[in-house]
Amino acid sequence: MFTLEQQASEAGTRLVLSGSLTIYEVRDARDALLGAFGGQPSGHWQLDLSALDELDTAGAQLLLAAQRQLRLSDATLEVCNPSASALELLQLLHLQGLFSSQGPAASGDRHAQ
Amino acid sequence: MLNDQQWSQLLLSFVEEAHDLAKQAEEYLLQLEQTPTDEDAINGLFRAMHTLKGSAGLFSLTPLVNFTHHLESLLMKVREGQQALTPVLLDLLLRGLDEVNAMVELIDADSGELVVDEARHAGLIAALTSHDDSHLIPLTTIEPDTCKSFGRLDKCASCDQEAAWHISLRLQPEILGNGFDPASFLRYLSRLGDILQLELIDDALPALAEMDPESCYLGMEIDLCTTAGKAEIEDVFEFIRDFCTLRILPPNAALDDYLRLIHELPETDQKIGRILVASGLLTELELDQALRLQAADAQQPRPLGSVLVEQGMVPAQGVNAALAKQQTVREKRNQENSQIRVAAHKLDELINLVGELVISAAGAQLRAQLKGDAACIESTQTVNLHVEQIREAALKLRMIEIGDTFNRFHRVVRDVSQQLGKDIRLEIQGADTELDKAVIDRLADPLTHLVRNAIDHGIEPADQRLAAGKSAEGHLRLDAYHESGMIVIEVADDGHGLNTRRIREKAVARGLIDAQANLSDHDVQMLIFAAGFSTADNVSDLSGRGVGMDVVRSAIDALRGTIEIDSRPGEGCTFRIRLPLTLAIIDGFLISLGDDYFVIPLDMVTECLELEADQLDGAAYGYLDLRGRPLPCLSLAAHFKLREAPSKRRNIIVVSHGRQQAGLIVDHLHGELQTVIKPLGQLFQHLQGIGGSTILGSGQVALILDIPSLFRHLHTHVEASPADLRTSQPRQIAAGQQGETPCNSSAT
Repeated sequence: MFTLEQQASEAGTRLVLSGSLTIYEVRDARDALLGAFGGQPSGHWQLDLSALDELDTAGAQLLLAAQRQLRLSDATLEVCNPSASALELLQLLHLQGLFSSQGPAASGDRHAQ
Repeated sequence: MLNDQQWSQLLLSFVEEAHDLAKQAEEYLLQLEQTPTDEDAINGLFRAMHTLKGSAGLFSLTPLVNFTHHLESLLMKVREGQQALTPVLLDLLLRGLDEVNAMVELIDADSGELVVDEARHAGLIAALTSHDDSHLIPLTTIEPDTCKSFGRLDKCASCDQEAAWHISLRLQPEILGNGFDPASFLRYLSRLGDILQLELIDDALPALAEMDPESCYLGMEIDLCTTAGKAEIEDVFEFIRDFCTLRILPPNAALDDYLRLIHELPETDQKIGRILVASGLLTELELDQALRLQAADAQQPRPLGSVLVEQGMVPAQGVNAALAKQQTVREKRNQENSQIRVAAHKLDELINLVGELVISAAGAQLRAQLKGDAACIESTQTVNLHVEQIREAALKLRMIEIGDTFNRFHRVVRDVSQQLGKDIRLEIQGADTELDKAVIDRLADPLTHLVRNAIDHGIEPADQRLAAGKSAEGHLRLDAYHESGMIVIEVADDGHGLNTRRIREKAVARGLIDAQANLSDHDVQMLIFAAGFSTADNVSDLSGRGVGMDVVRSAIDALRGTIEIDSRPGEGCTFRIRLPLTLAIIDGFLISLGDDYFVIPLDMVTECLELEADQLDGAAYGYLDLRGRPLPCLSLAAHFKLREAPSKRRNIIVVSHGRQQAGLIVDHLHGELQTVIKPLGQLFQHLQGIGGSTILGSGQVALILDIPSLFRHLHTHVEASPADLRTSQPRQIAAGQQGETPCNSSAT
């Protein structure tokens, strides 16, 4: 079960992801994210993973794709407050770059640390 | 479940195995006494104990398991370098082995129980365990080969980063949909060692709006620090092999190890893929894949090595090392100690006996058939079948590779080409083709002659070659291969080929052929084998050895072989020799004179005719009229001074040897027969006209006629015959006319 809650914050838009984000949920999650981004997303977006119980490679891939999507319209995306299980996976895939707002293209050493 | 009998059989084989292992272990120990650092011996010793322990466990021989366990752990320490192999320890280990042997002896064959002398046993174990702990050598003597930071995700603390395996993983889109989460394989991978680097390759990942979220767009480049081997790493991805492209490259440091490993592999003649798999540099799966790729490219098959490198399965250095290995193996194969050297005469004896066996088995079968006992016939047939197999196997024993003989020509080519100032490269193919040793020995001279001829007459000097648009370097190729039960040996050069026109002129001048004769190019070329067609344009050191092409021809004939010429003007000339695989068996033609049987080699028989009257008038030698041409004839009965049955109808067998023909007058023709040649005993070696003997199924002896010697004999007797007869025989025109030789690449 995946849910997405949108909050406005002073830094930009915050999306709180909760439940699980795995191969079973990615299709719905994609639609939900696209809906939240709207036609021309702009500014800074935060994905709050604190309530995410489960994350797999398909989910991580979706987060990466979301980051690309935002970059298309010069918006930025940052993943924050990952839950323990989400953090484990992101570390395993050396996707710490998602935590920075610059995005993977700009961070050359996202995997090394 | 096993029944009792099976169980005790298993137990018996265990006892045997245990003794073997203990004996092996003892040998290793004694070896270690000489060279205490011999790692192979230590490993072998350890393996022997380990195996013994495992097998003993299967039979619940607890005391033995316990005891070997102590030995094993002690040896483990030795192996890891924590324990020095002192004389005291060696002594203790030897005593331990004695105890193992004693325990194996004590196993009750029926109940499978093992009762040991507890006190003595305990004493030894105590000695082993105390030793186990006492002489510890500090770990610093040997570098630990494990990675200390095992399991931690950040930088590997103890290893150099250079020492990492590189794993390149490309995932296919459907992997996620099939229920595999690549991350779980990464977790599993990290159990093998440290993931130092992981770069997620997401170049193919589209933006959120365009993506299919259930497809995978990712790839990974992973640096893994591990002591595991390539196959182990590959196993991690076993379940997703179908959904990914996986390339595993060894660390630079490990690559050196692999190269060393390839170098140290036992020297068997393996294919390159096998060598790489054996070294661990290539896995079975990868080999399969590469072979499929290679096969898929049917039009232009590439060497496996280049496929492997191109696919990134094996680094180029690895392939090179394997190739080098293959090379040295081929070179060394003849000296390999896994072969047994046997005196040739022993083999001959064996083959002789097998020949006897063939004959007596045939005799037995004949008897059985006469008796008509079906069961008896059947068993003799089975015996015969096996005898045939034994014969095949025995004959194979005499087979040796032709490579050695070929390799000698490197020197010949080098010397001769230097002498002539030509630059010639010798290429050897099919060096591992096997044929009878006797054949190989007798082939050396004719081959040498062909090679010299090719260099001297066949291959042009460099300036002519360049003018003809060829490379300055001449090529000479020796090749051997099997073809429908015969062995074919080729001597090929890329010179100017035979000059048919000049051969023809010369042959006409010599009277070998009629000036009007309409011969094909091929027939003209064959004339160079004629006796007397043997002087070179320029008499050089290489020529005038007294060996002409006719001698080559007769040497090949003597081996019951044939030789053909394949010459293309300006492109080169190939001499192709076809030989039977062995000399020990021939296809013969059985004839008889009265009660005496004779065998004529079948391939010398041209035709059979009926003798109308005794046209020789009882003489042993003379001429008959064969379709208007005189045919020298020999009456075998008169020649061998045998009694002939006077009333019987008689036959003539026309035999040919080289280009000569003669008729043999005999009583009966019995037809074809495959037979084993048995050499004549010492006493009969001097016999003229008899080449050997064989025994017929009936038990009768048949003598094998030595046709060339009969021909010689016939010559001396018909020499005195009228000259008109002699000159009317085309083949009798002898050499002796000197003059310019028209044939460039003919004989010397």
